[in-house]
Amino acid sequence: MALHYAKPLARLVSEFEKLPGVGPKSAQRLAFHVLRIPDEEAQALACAITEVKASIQYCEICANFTDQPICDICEDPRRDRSTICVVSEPRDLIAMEKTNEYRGVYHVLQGVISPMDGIGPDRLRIRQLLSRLENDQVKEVILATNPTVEGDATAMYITENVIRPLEKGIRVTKIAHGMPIGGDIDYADQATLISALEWRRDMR
Amino acid sequence: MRIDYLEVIHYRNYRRQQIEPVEGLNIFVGENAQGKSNLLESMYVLATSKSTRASRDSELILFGEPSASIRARVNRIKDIDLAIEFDVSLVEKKFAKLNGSRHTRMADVIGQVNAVMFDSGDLETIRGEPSVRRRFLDLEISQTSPRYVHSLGAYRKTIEQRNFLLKEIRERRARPGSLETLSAWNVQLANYGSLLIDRRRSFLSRLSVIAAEAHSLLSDGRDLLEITYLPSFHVNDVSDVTGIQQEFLNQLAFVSDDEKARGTTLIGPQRDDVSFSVSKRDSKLFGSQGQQRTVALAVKLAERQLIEELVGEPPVLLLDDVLSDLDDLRRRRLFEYVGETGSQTFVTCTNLRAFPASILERARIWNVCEGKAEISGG
Repeated sequence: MALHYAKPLARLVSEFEKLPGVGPKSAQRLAFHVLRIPDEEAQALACAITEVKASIQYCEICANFTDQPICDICEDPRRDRSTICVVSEPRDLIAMEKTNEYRGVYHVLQGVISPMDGIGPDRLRIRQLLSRLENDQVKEVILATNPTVEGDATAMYITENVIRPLEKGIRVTKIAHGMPIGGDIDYADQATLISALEWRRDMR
Repeated sequence: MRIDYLEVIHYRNYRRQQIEPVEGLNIFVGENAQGKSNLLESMYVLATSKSTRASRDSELILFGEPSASIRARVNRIKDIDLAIEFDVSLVEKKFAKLNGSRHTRMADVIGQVNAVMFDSGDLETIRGEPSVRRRFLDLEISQTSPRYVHSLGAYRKTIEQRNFLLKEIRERRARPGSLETLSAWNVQLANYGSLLIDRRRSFLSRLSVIAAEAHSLLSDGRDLLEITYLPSFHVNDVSDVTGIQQEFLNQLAFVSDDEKARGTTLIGPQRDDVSFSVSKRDSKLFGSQGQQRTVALAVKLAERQLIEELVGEPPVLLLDDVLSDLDDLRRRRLFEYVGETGSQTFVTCTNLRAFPASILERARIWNVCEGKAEISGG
């Protein structure tokens, strides 16, 4: 097949195509956009990419992304270290932080257990979680994995194979699954409603 | 529920056909391949939005035409009367009209008309592979239990992941620490699986009672039909979901070594079966064609009753080629029984000799020939 682009341009298009959610058409649009923007802007983009790769690492404590050895949340003296919220992805942590309500600390697994995708506990940040539970004064672990088959299996594994064997009397909780706030009951799907019924609680 | 008027246009081998059925028994009589079953199928399509026989909707369209329509006026006791239209086209997305308003989401259309259809495919439930009977269970229970639908999906996902892991263990290429995750998958499997087992068990115990009654009437009380749930492990001693869940986990522990050696899940609903026995003999193994047909028919009649209980009025009954293999006694009993249920009934047959005169008197009869149905005897 004839090459439609000049080689450097073709290379850029093919790099964009590798990005999640970017198809051939979008990749082409992005590449032409880059060609049209001023040099400084293109430089800034390239620098941002190089820098993020060079400076971002996993927090030594919670495995969140950070540019320091230890992330801001784990450094913050006002956070309650006796409560750890376990999430699977950094974006879940960001969602939790936006509530501005949670005062505990986090642990980011960086994935969920999924044999089909070749992800076992060794690929997740579980050893790090274990050493935190062993060494720190943790009173409660809140499991906030997604309510999927894999998310639930991961939560179950952490409960039964990581926390229980420690015999430290750590409270293990799982976030409630049910109706979204401000949502309409008649718009909720049946699985959500069933869960909402199951996790109902007494009026006080 | 009563269909007062049915019209098919460019449908199968019909150019245009109008039918005004009666409340009780409606008979389509004619040679094979003239279009009798097509009329039954059209009413089933109105109820379920799909055919049991067509693999593609386009098969419903008369050759050379761009689209087909099925229209009906339905009298309902528990709801307002319904003008329903169902359109399949070669170019457009299929759609339905309910009292004039257009719907392309079939979930909105299914269940507006309730129908139970018996055709030769139903014999497979009795004599086919266990997977056919599991599909029958899933289909029937899913209609009334969204929770079952959800658990079934989650169970399948879980078993897929678990089997993948077991296969890795067997081939000694499991990731370090993966072996210990098996217990988490076990909990998930038992959690979703126990619900499936519990629902299948209670569905079959209800079905069994009703089907046995129907079967006893059809066979003049001579034969006792028993429908028995055959789960992959015994749950006779446990009465609730929690009990089944615990038993599931116990059994998983029991077969654990075997599963790791075989690389697959060995127990659970994916291995369930159902037995249909007549007077203590398994119909699948010992039944004659006529006996198997009677059992399949009894199951359908039981299904009819379950739907009536659920909806609050009798569904339409569609009996395709139900008379072959049935002896005179069973035929008479069938129409007596059906008459008593109050379900509007449509039957296909190749001749009327099979019907007792007393039944023919009250029925409306159409002669069906080459895609035309004409009322017999004026």
